[in-house]
Amino acid sequence: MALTETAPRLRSARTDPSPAASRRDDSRLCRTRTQRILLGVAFAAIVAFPLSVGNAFLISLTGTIGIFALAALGLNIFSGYAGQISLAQSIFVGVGAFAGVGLGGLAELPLPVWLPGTFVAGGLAAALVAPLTLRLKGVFQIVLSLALIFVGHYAFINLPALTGGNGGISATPSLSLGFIDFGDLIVAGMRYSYEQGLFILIWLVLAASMIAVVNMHRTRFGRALVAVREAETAAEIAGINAARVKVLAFVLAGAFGGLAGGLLMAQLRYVQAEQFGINMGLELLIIVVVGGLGTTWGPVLGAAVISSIPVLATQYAEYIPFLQADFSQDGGIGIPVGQVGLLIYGLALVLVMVFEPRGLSHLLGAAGRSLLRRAGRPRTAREPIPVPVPHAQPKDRTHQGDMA
Amino acid sequence: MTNLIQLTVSGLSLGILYALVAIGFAVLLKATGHFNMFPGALVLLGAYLTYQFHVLWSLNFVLAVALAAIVCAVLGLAGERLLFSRLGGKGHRSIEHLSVLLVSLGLISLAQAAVVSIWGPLNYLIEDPWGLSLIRFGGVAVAVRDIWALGLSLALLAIFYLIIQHTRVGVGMRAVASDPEAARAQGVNPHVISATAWAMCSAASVLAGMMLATEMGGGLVPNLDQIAFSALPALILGGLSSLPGCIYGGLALGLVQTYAAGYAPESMGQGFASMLPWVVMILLLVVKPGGFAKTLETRKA
Repeated sequence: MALTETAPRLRSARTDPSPAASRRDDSRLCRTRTQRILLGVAFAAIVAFPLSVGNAFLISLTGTIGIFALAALGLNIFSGYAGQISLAQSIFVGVGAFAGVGLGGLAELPLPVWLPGTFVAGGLAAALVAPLTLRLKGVFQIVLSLALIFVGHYAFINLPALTGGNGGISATPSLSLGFIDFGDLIVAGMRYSYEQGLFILIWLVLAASMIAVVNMHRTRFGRALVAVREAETAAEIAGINAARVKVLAFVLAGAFGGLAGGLLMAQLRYVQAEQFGINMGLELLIIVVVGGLGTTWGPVLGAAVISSIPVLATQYAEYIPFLQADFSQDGGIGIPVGQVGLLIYGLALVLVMVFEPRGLSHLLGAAGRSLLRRAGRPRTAREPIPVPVPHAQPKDRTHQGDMA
Repeated sequence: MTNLIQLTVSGLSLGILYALVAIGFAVLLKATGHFNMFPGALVLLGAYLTYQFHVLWSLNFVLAVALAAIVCAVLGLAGERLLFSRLGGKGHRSIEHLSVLLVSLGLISLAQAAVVSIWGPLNYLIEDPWGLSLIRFGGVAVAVRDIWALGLSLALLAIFYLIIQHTRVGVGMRAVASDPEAARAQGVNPHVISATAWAMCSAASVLAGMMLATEMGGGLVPNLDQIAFSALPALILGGLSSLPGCIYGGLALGLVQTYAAGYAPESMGQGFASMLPWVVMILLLVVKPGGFAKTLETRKA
């Protein structure tokens, strides 16, 4: 799904008027009127897709992808743009989820209050620990992020009023904006399911966040981030307050993590402290790395691959060789479906680091360009898109300047 | 009083195991210049291989542990030759120094998936020779396994000390740690150094993994590598690349954790003891961001 609706924007971003276009042009969201139209089409797809697809499994899978892409988008600000490392993004997702339980579930506040509340909660939690993380580098930073996971888990299980302790807690937040209720969507007399409405909400939030992050990249702060990543000392000499920039990046990362947590809570309507542990932290870091650090579409591509393959494998286990539903003691050789996730994370991380450390975005871009070359003709943005095949899509140009 | 002594002994034995795992990380950091999480996977694999050799194939226990250590050393060295050493200069500058770390995290995921695929998700006993037996000194009951954990670990650490201080390879290792290029110019063979480092690392990791998986230690569980991560505060406390530092750090944290488990009131909440080493580490990093390390350069690793 990610690819279906992102396709128009990916394609449009390629129609670069001249290769030597300035950075200013290159990082703009839309350069031509066509692109603006295509952006509109993409937004329309976010609404049209769930309303035309009735398959509940597909809707919930693509919703999950959107949520993980959002959390990874946050981590990408800190790890990709600012060049720091953190395994602890899952803790901020957890903070957002439990803030959502408190605000949306227990206090029964409306959507325009509790959802931004999760954003603020994630940001505040990150601001609380930011002074610790940002004085450190490399090994110290990653071990500290592990420490945050363990301390965060301790905090979660010892606040049973909000988190339900070890047992978890369920919540039914309101998804109503007043004039439109995503939880009970009625369009043209047709009533749609909770999942379909939530899908629209998730992807609208993701699209808005992506636009915000792309725009942020063009601001003074965005360029300062990249400067700190490339050469911290030089950036400081140029008058950038590196510590402040990193704190802001970390707070933003936590805030987007919190937002993702809020949406995750709305999707599952039941959250448990156990979910937000080291495995989710690792998964998010892997999404960012596999998708492509510091790229606009990396988190979405990464989430589409990393978060969907284990779910698909579980769903279609009987059709895939070497998979078995559960561990059998009879000595049959096979991979239990519960382990496919770990297997995919590990394999994807190792393969990407060894063969293409710039990530899937770069790989897709390169594949797209070589296809075009073989086709021997320049394609224009106006061409219809027959099938949204991932490897045929060129990557977004906006980030080439800094990842080259 | 007897309670205090009992807690001290089990705290020291937990601490020395933390120290062993931390030393596994530190030796690799010293010899290869990269922080590598793969020893976490070796702790896990070592314990499961011991189970495979001793329980399923009925080999002698000592032989099983030794074989597991050899297999782990080969795995580690293969990883080094085929993956880690080839990553240099790959990728974008911002993640270049993290490439080894990220690949080793990927390998840990794979190791976990492999362990559950091969041996299953259940909790097994490795049928260690100590079981739950206790030995009594006056009124103090001490687990035999704790004494053996301390003894074997100290013996292994003594061997490490001899290797590092008194052999050619050890001198080479210290030379590589202080200046890799100068060491190479002086004829130190980096392959020999990394092979020795992986052998030491796997011996320490397998011994620690086996001890953590004993009946007294809680049995064989598929998330043993995450228990191994609890040794990371010891590594930080000790200052990353100092081996005696790892031992002090490990012992201190083992004692802190065990005393907290024994004495902390209920009101401190669930999981307080196992979280405490991390808090100690955070506090240390607030006060002294470099740990007790003299070698601040290694913070780049």
